[in-house]
Amino acid sequence: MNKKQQKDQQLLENIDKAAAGEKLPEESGLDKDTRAALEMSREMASWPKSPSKEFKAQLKADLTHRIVEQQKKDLAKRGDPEYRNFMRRPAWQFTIAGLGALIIAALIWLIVYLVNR
Amino acid sequence: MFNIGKRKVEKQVSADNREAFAELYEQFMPKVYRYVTFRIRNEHLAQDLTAAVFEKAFAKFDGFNPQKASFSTWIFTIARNTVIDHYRIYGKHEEVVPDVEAKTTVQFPSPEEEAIKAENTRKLRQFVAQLNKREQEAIVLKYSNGMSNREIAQILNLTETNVGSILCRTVAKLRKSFVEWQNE
Repeated sequence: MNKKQQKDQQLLENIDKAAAGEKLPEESGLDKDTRAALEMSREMASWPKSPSKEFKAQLKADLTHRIVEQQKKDLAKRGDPEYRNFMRRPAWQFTIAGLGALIIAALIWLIVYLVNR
Repeated sequence: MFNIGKRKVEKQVSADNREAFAELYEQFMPKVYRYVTFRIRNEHLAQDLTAAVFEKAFAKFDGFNPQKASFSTWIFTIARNTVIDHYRIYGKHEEVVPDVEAKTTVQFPSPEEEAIKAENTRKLRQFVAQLNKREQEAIVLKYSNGMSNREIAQILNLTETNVGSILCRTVAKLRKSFVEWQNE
């Protein structure tokens, strides 16, 4: 690595620190240009603003509303998954099958009874 | 900083896209906002554009594939395109408008020093606005959120080495312009 590459590498590392808001190393070892560039980096890193709580909450509420609306639409399209899951439970299926068998048996008994009468 | 694990995102997406989106919103919204305010200094406009970014992201979220790119890369690509579209439609003049709304937390001993500091900032912003598109993107992504060169490379579709070279060159260029202006 030649001298220029080393200097660039050092600058890049310090740019990362400045951009991340970290404390920069003792600057006495840095040359004038690098020091000035890092000052500028610190300045630029201070420009962006954080969102206000109100804006963050408002946008979140808007997006949540959209998400809920979308979920409602999806449920309407596919049917209620809770209802579908309930219908798929073995105990429920057994009960339905048992009731069905009872109704069929009762019908057969009724037909036989009416025919023999 | 931005490396939300692909596996985590994948799990979140498959579990429930919309819940995953709500979680990712919490994590990324302040970062996207910082990126937008670096480029757009009008607070209300920055809010509108940030909202637009998340609306687009929500609409496209079913198509987001964590195997292809991290959520960070994906959302910042949307943010970048949203800002580019804004300037394409409304022109670029806003980027060089002095930041009249800027408030500094640093206390200066005299109004004169404060004025000098404000003028330096305004000028530096102008120099940033005069950079070419690629240099500007690298600077904004680096200084708005302290992204790593790898993350910037993914968003700008460059190599990590390229990003490093661009940053070194651009910072040196800005410094040179600034010194020349001060010596005028």
